[in-house]
Amino acid sequence: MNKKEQDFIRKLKGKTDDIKIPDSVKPEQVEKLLKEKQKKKISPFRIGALAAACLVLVAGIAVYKNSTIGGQPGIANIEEKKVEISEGKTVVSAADYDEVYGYIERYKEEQEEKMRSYEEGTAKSSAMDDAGTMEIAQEARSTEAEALMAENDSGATAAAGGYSETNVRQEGVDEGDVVKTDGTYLYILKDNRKEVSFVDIRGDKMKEVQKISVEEEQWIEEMYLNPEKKRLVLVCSRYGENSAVPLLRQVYSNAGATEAVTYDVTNPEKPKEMGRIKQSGYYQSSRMADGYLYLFSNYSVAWDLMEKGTPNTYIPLINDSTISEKNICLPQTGTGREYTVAVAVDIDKPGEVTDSKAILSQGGQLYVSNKNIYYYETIWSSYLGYNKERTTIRRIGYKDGELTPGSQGIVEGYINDSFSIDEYDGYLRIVTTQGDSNGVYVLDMDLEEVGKIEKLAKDERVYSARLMGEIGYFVTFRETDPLFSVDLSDPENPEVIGSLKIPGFSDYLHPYGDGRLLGIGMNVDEETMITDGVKLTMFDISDPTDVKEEDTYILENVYSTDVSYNYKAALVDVGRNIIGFAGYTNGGQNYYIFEYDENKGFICNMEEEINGNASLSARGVYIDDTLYVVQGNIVEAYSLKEYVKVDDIIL
Amino acid sequence: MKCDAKKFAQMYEAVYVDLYRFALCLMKNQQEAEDAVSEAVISAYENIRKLRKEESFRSWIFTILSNICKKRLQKISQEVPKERSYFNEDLEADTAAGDTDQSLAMDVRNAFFILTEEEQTIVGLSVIGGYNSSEIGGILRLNANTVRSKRSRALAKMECVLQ
Repeated sequence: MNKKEQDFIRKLKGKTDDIKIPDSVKPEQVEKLLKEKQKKKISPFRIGALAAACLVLVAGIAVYKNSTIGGQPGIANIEEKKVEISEGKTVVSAADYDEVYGYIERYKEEQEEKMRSYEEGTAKSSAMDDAGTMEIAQEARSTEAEALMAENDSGATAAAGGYSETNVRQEGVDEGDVVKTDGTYLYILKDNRKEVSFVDIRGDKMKEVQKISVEEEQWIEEMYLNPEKKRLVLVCSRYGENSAVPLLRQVYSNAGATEAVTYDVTNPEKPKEMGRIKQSGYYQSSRMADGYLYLFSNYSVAWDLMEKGTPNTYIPLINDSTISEKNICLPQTGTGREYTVAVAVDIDKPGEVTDSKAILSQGGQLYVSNKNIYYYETIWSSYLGYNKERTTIRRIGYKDGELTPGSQGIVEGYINDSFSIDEYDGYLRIVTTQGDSNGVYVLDMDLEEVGKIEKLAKDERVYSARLMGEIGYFVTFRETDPLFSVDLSDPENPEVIGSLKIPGFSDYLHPYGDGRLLGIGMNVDEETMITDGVKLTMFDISDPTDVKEEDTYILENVYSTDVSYNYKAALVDVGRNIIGFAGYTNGGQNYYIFEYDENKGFICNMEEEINGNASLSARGVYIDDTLYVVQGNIVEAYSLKEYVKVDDIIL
Repeated sequence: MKCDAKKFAQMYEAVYVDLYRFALCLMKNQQEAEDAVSEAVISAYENIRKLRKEESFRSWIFTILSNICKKRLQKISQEVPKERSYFNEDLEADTAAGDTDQSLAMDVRNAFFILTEEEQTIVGLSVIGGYNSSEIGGILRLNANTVRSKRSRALAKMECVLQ
C-alpha cells in the first residue's frame, strides 16, 4: 500500500471512530442472548435448511451436466455431488463466445440461487456453512504467499557475476520486482508507483541519472531488467476508463487493464520506449524466460453489464481486440467468474503479442516451471462439503512465446503456496492440506496421479515446502514444527523418510549449499503459543532420513519479516554466504545480514535501521562489496566488508 | 475450542466495537448492522468448537461477519430496483423504513456506496479490521495481489467522493 492509500485509510478510520455502539450488540446483551439460545435448540429447522442447500447445489450441477451434453434439464440426484469437477484430461478451448457466456451465466445463476436459498429462510444453515468453511480460510492464512511464492530447485543462487538478482521461485525463470540491477545501475520503483529511478552507483556517491514515469491513470506494479538485451520492462496497471463517473459501480471491475512498456536502456541516461502491449484485467503475476515476457492479468466479469450479443462485455481484450474463442480455456468446473489472461511478448518486438490465452476460472494461482504454466484453483469446501476441498490444475506449455494448452487434473486438498507444487523430471509433485491432514501427490505430465501419501500430520497444515529434486521437505505446524522429508525418487512410491520436531515454524525454506536447508519463520513460545520473534534455522539435511537442526537464531522483538509471505524480500546467496532480509521491530524496520559458519552457526553481521517510505517492501541488493538497502525513495549503501554505512541518496 | 456464553462474551468484548463499525460501513443502516452482528455472534457461538486457537477469534468472527454482510447486501440489492440502488436516498427509504443512522458520516456512507460489495468488504477489513492484504486474502480467499489491486482501485474511487 502506498503512503497516499495509508493516509486515506487512516482518514477513513478517523471518520468511523466516533460511531456509537448500540446496546443490542454490547457484550452483556450478547451473553444474555447466547444463554437464551442454549436453552432452546433449533435443530429441526437447521436440518431442513441444510437439505435445501444441498438441493440447490445439485440443481446447479445438473444444469451444467446437461448443458454440456446438450440434453434437457435433468432431475437432480444427490449421488452426483462430486461430478461438479470435470473428469476431462485435456484443457478444453471454447467453441464460441456463447459457450463462454454460458459458463459465466451459470456462475451468476448459482450465486443467485444461493441468495434465494438464503431468502427462503435458510439463514441459519448458510451462516453455519460460513463458519465451517471459515475455519479453513483461517488456516489458509498466508494466501499472499500463494500469489508470490514461486520456486527454485537448487536455490543455490551461486555468486554469478558481482551482483544479486531477484530471489525467484524457479531457477531460470525471472520474476518482476521493485528493484533491479545490472551491476552498474540500480533501477528503483519509487513509492508513489509512478516513477522508476535509474541510479548510477559508480563513483563515490550514488547519482540519480534518469527517471521514467507513467501516465496519470497508470501505476507501476513491477519491472524486469534484461541486462544482455538491455531492456527494461515496466509492468503497469491502468484504472478503468470510466473512473471519472464514480457512481457507476461494477464498471470498474472489468475496465482496468495491465500493460507492459518496454524500454531500450542501452544508454540508461537516454531510455527509449520500444513498444507496449495492453490486456484486460488488473495485474496478477508475470515471468520472463528466454527473452519472452509472460504477463498474467486478472479480469473479473461484470455481470450487470454482460450482454450476450456484445462479446467485449465479457470477453477480455488484448490490444483492444477480443481474444479469439479458441484461445479461451474452459474451467473444469461448469462455471466461471473471472479470467487469468496470459499473454506472451518477445521483448525484441515489444509492441506485439506472440500468443495469448484466457483461462476462465473461479479464481486461481500460478506456478511456472521451466516448461509449463500450471494454473491451480481450489474448489472450496462450501461447494463440496466440509473438509473436502480439492484443487484443479491446468497445464499450459510455454516455449519461445508460444502457449500450448495441455493436460488437466485434480488433487485432494488445497495448495499452501507455489513452493508446494513443483515440476521435476517429467513429474509434478504437490503437497496439499486436506481438512485436518496433509498429503503428497505425484502426477505425470498428463496430470494423472501415479503416486501419493495421505493422512500426514493430522490436525496440522502445511506452512512451507521445498521440493528439491528427488527429496522434498515440508513444514507443518500446530504446536511444534515438524520438518518432513519425503523421498520422491520413485514417482510411484513417494515415502516419508524422516521428520524432525522443533518449536516454531518456518515460513520459507531455501537450499543452502550441500546438505543444508535454511528456514526463515517464527519462534513460538510452547506454553503460550504466541510467536515471539523471527527465527532462522539451519537444517542439516545431509542424511534426509535423519534431518537435524544444526543451529537456530532467534531475533527477539522482531515480530515479523516480509520473507514469510514474499520470497522476493529475501537476499540469499550461498556462494557469498549472505542471508539478508528486513524485519519489523517496535521502532520500525531493520535490515539484517547474516552469514553461516559451520562451527559457529549463524553470525549476525549487520543490523541497521531502514529509512525511507515503508509503503513498498524493503529490498537488499548487492553489487560487488556494497549492499544497497532500498526502501521506497531512499537507498542506503553499506560496505559488506566493514558493515558500515558508506552512502545514501534520497530519490 | 470449548467455550461457554461467558467466555464467548469475554472474547467478544475485545472485538465488538470493530465488528459493529465494520457492519455499519457495509450495511449503512443501524438496524441492518445490528442484525448482521447478532447473526454473526450466533453463528460463531454455534461453531465455536471449530475454532482452534483463541487468538484467531478476531479474524474468525470477522470472516463470519463479512460473509453475513455479503449475503445481506446481495439480498438488499435484489430487493431494491437496480437503477436506484446506487443512490442512497432511495436505499434509505427502501430498507428498514427510513431508519437512517446518523452516526455514520454521510460522506463515508456515500464513499462506500460507490463500491462493489467485494470492494466494500476489502476496504472495511482494511480500515476497521486493520488487516493487511494477505490477511484479507485469507479471510476472503482471494489472492493477496488481487486484494491489493482491488483495494487500490476501491480507495481511488472513494477518494473522488470523499474529497
